[in-house]
Amino acid sequence: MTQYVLRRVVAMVPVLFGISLLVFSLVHLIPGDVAQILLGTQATDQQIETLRRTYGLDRPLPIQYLDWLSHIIQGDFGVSFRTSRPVLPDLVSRFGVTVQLTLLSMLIALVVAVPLGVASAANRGRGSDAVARVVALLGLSVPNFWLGTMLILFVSLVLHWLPPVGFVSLLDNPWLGLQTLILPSLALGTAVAAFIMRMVRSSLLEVLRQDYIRTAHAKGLREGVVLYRHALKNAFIPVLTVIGVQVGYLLGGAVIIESIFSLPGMGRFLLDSINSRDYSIVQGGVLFIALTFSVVNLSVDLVYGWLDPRIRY
Amino acid sequence: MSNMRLLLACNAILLATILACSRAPEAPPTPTAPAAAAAKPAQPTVPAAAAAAPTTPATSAAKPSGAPTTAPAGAATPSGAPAAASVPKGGEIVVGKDQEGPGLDPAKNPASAAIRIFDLMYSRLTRLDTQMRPQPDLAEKWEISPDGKTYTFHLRPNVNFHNGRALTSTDVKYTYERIIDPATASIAKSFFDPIDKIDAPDPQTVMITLKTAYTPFLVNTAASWAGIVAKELVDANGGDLNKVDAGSGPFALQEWTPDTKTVLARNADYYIPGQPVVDKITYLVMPDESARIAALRTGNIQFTVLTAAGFETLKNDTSIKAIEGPTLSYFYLGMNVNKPPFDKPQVRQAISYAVDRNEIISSVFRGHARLTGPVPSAMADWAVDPTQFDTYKTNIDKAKQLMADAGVSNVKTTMSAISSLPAQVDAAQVIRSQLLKIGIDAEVTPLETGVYVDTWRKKGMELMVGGNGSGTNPDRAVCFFFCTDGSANVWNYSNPTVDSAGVEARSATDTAKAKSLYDAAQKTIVDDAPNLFLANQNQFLAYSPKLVNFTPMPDETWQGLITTGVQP
Repeated sequence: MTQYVLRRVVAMVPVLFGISLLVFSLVHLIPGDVAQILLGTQATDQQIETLRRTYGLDRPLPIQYLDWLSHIIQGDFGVSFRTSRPVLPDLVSRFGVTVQLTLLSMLIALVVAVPLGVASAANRGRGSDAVARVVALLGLSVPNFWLGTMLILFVSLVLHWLPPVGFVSLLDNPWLGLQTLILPSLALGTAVAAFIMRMVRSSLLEVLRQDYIRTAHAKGLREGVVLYRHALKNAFIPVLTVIGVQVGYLLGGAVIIESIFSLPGMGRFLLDSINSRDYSIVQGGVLFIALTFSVVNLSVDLVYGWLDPRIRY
Repeated sequence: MSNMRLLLACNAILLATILACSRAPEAPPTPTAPAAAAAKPAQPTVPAAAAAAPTTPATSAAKPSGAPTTAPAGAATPSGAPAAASVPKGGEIVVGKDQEGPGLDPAKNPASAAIRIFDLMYSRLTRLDTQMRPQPDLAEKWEISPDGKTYTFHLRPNVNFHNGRALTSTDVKYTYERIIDPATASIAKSFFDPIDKIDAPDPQTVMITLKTAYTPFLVNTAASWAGIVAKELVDANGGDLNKVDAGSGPFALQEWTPDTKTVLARNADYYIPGQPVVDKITYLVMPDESARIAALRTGNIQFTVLTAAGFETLKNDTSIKAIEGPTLSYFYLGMNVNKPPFDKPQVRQAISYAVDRNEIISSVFRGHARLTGPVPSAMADWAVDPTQFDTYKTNIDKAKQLMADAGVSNVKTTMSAISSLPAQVDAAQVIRSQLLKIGIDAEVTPLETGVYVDTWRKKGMELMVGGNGSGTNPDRAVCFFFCTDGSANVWNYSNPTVDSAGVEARSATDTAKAKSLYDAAQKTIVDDAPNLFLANQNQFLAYSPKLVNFTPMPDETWQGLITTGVQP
């Protein structure tokens, strides 16, 4: 087990290295220049040159890459060109917002999706199954930016209330934090819930056809025990894969939802940085996201072993 | 045409009303925001033509006759009407801002998102009024030597930085030298490059000597970027003020969480009595407009910036005050005069005759814009009346004739615009259909902002739709964009008449002479048509009816918040 984890961690290194090379080249290949964009169209050539020199952008690209890489290896993500603030603390604070948003969205999604999926599978072909499937289809089809705007309009026009603007961390003030996060989490969680619900349903249907389920029924176990204790645990492996992918995806940031709800998350941070060609943030941010994605995948693989004792590493 | 006149008249009324309110300090200020009076008829004492036709400067501040100039009484309040007695002091304004700026160092940040905050944190020698004329701020009066080269500023006594230290002439000297220093990479460097030396003979006097006479200098001392900074705080922060406050302005920085919120607190020690009115301004970053409008309706915020579409949504909402005001920005169609067929003046003139600017104003801007020359009408002393230009009158026959004279037909070309700015792309589409009538097929190519700016800088475009800020002085509006060596002249345009007028006007110590030189230069530029000046668009703001005494500024700063109060 320990050996497996170590092997996986070591395997991450070439992946991250490849990503670092890819993102560095891409960021520097796109036309546009950080100094030009920062100074605007009012700047003189001399001002732009001065700024480029200050950032070291006048050096050859391979030198810039090696310089950046050697700093990254030492944990130094550099300084933002645009704000001259260190990149890492800003990345971490944005990531904190995104993590809270992701966890709450996922919680909402699971609370809705799992019971609904189980009920739908258990009542296959009946009316309640059809309703659940239509709801899931709706959840998948409604774009989250539309849902987000509608939620804002609904609560502001009908309830004459809006959550406080500006992010408050759940750790600092759980009640205020929950208020600022609940609407965006709902908007984000809906599609995820629909996705997971469909997965739970189809996976569970598969398992319910197995012999040991018939045996469990034959033993006289109650329907709920059969469903939740015997069937669901085994049906959960493909669901877990979906959850892992969705969590990794959500941790990359949700640009539109963050904009609509004025949340300072990863998505907006990276998009703004791309638009202003803030190379150090884009490079550091993409690397950071790649790292979290790898870690999430590894965790999912480890949970497989816990769910199904037959899987051993 | 009658629509056009109506539009101009409306704008003239709007401007005149704003000016009437802001320039009449002895009149009891009305408790409503001045711009809200736009719907009422203009006061008969104010010439309604003030907006369109430039008038001679009423104040003597810009008169470089050599005579000592004293600030006109009552002009000591920089941004217009003094706070009304009926408005209680105190309270808080929560502002919903569409963007976050990179930082708060006044010398380093050209982005309006940043200026809208640090503008209230820093004082400068002078401040602009609503007509973009310099008025006293830290300098209570100034003299200009007869040769136009030496400016002597007399500072207000008893001004303190937010850290409690007294502000003196050495701080002005330090600030300007910091801006000129190439290591600062300040956006305002070119503003102060004409400076030869700065002397601080006593704590209350600054003498600035220019290399040659340069009349735009005075207006440049009012730039937000020329905020006076405290040296010890620059040194303590490694030369960078992006995260700290080193100012002496009406508000002090209390808290800044990037991309979330900025809190400014009232400077209790501020040197203008009765200002600022509110205790606190909180800026929240809210990129989504419908979220800002919802927050305004529920009272979570009290002030925000709108797009034209947002303004249309809110203008009939009685629970919210939605206002529009002029800006110094204009949309243009630029032509690369090095690339055939745009190297031929007849082709450019033909395009000017073919483009119907009024159609662009009515379709793209829904009427919230006006015809303009190189200098927008909000810069009242220097603008020219655009209706005088023959090439502004759409004439397809004339355009076709000019194309035939140039021996050019069936042109295929491209027209770039910024993809994230729908108004630019829309304007490009309208122009495309208009140019098809004279045999020019300009394919619209929307570009991502960074790519667009890159294309612009490398002068690689053929046709380009864009937006320019004219700056606050005619030198910037004319020479920066159209003199041969102008930093923003990416059109390869070169005309000795414009160049010599530009150089001569800079050192013209007589305002009337400078005005006639700039008038001639503007006419030449419009005739040569390296750019078509399409429309000078409005800005849109919305706020709670409880806010009073807010005045919009054409430079789109939010200086008006200094005098804004909150009614209970």
